[in-house]
Amino acid sequence: MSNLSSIARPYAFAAFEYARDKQQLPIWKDFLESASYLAQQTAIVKLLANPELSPAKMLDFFHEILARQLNEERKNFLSLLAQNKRLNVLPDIADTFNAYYAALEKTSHVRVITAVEAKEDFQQQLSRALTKLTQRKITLECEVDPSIIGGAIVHVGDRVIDGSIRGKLIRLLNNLTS
Amino acid sequence: MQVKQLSPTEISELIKQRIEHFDLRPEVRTEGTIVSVKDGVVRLYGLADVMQGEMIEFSEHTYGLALNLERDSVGAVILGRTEHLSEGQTAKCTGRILEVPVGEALLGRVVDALGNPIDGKGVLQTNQTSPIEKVAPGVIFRQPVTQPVQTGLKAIDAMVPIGRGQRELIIGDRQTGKTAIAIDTIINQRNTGVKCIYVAIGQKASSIAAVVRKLEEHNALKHTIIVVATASDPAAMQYIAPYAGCAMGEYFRDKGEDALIIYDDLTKQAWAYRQISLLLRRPPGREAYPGDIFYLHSRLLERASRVNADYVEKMTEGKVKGKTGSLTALPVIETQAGDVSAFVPTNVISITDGQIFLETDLFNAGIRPAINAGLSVSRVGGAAQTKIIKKYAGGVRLALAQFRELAAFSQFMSDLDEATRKQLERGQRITEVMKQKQYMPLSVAEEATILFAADQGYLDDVPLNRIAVFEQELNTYLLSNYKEFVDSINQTGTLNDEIVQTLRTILESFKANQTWD
Repeated sequence: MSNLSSIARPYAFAAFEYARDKQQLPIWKDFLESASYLAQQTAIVKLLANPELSPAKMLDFFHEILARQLNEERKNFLSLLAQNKRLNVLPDIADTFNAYYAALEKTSHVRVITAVEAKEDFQQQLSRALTKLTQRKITLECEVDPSIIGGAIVHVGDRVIDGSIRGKLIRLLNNLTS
Repeated sequence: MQVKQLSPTEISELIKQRIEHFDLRPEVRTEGTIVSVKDGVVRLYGLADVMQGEMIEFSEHTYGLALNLERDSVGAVILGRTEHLSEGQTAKCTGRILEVPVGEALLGRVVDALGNPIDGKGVLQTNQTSPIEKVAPGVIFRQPVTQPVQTGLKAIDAMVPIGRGQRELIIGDRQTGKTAIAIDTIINQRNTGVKCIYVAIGQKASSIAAVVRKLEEHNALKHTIIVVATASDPAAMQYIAPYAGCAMGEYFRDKGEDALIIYDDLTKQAWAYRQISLLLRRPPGREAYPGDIFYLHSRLLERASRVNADYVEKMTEGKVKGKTGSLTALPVIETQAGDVSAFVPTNVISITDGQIFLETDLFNAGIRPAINAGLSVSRVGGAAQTKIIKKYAGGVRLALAQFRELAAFSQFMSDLDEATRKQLERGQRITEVMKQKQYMPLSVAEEATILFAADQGYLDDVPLNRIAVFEQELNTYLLSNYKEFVDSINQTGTLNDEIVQTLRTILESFKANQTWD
């Protein structure tokens, strides 16, 4: 979601293709998510922006913390990032990697916003309907926002299906005042 | 209790209708997020389905225009206020391209580049809209230019005639009378049925107000639409204003009427587009203009055309038959220090069907309109000129061009031979005849009479400094004594022996009986 995605794309694509060919996609996914989480910590963001700290030191630091998830290739991946001073791009790399992964697995992440807590059977019903609509496996993420009054808003990627009472009222308002 | 002002949309019948037709199904839309807002340009993340030129809706009824579709982001210009937009807000696709209101109701109104009225005369009584970007009519729907647009200026109607459907460029430095020609032309369309659209781009609001006032004074506002993007409007508005005006003009063309559009001026529009392009990080080319600056003007001016009856019938779905339509364009270009070989002037010169070239030196020498006869041409207007003017103005342009050359040369010579002296004498008289005051457009008959007088030597014994008075008195004499003759020429513009004889009688009796000293 920033200007770094152009930089992140080739790294993510290379990592994805490598992992897919070696059939290590889940491991790489976990590794990138941990690394991304690490790179997002305020202290680390500050460290990464500090020009006095050498890339080698930073790399050692990453290696130490992520030691359990590393093998030779993943170590090399991190070294490459450190060498190119791109460790701060890790969150974008992880996002792009996940997008490739989801496209391969034909899964979609769906955000559902409702006015009151969505019940279990409603969630299941919704996820069945959306699976049919999108022809993909669905992972639901439910949020509650009382300000939408009623109904639900469904986000699938860029696409938004707005069935909320608030949305309808706004449209009615626009329709009457235009 | 004080009742608040009711708006016309608050009539219960209307509200009922709208409630009835309200679509209650969930809305499906594509959303994106604003990454940055700066200098009237937004960068958006997401919006994977957006199309080039599509309208994007931001919060609080602000709209944008998607111009750059890149790998990770979409670059768009904002049409209107930008203060309330900030990073992280959502924006959605509308699936529509920008439209402006069109129709008869716009005549006599002043609107902004989006078609919103800004003259305080209330809402526009029209529900028709038209997209601002349209493809120009194709080859088979076109027809040659054969009817004239009378500008009412002797110099133009005689030397660089303009036909309906033509594109004639008005080019010159600042303060050479470019706008004056445009305004006189609009005023002269009062009784011709030609609808006028004046698009003011990047001008001072005070100048525009002055134009509106002048048109009102001369009773010429009621057939005119004024589209305004002032110097203080965002660059995006200045960029789209000509297209919006063109859409309003095409409405008249497409229903078999004649319209005239003036773009005042396209240099400022090119500047606005250059600003937008550079902010969108498109690569700069010559004079820092983007690569598609030629297309910017060519696609606009290509929409000015004369269309045949089939096209009009097709566009009106058979309601109007056997009528041709036209949209005449008079683009204005401002040059810097007379440099016509700069990028934008050369582009527009090559697109248009001729140009009226105005010069500072001539203007300062008191020759107004300050038309340079040598550099001004009309490539298609000759076919549209009225017979009578064509006959007596035939030699004017060439004579004037030669005279200017000769006049410069003759300054070095002490004594001149008879032929040269005569040519100079004639040139001086024609120069004098071509002068005309602002806001005083002439009818075809008036123009024809003075051109006839000059051509047939009736002015040879009139002192140079009395020619203007002579002409003025002649016109008064003409209108008071030969009203029918004037009307018939204004309507037909034909030429025959009888008319020539009448013209002779008029001039001889005028010279014998009237005074002009």
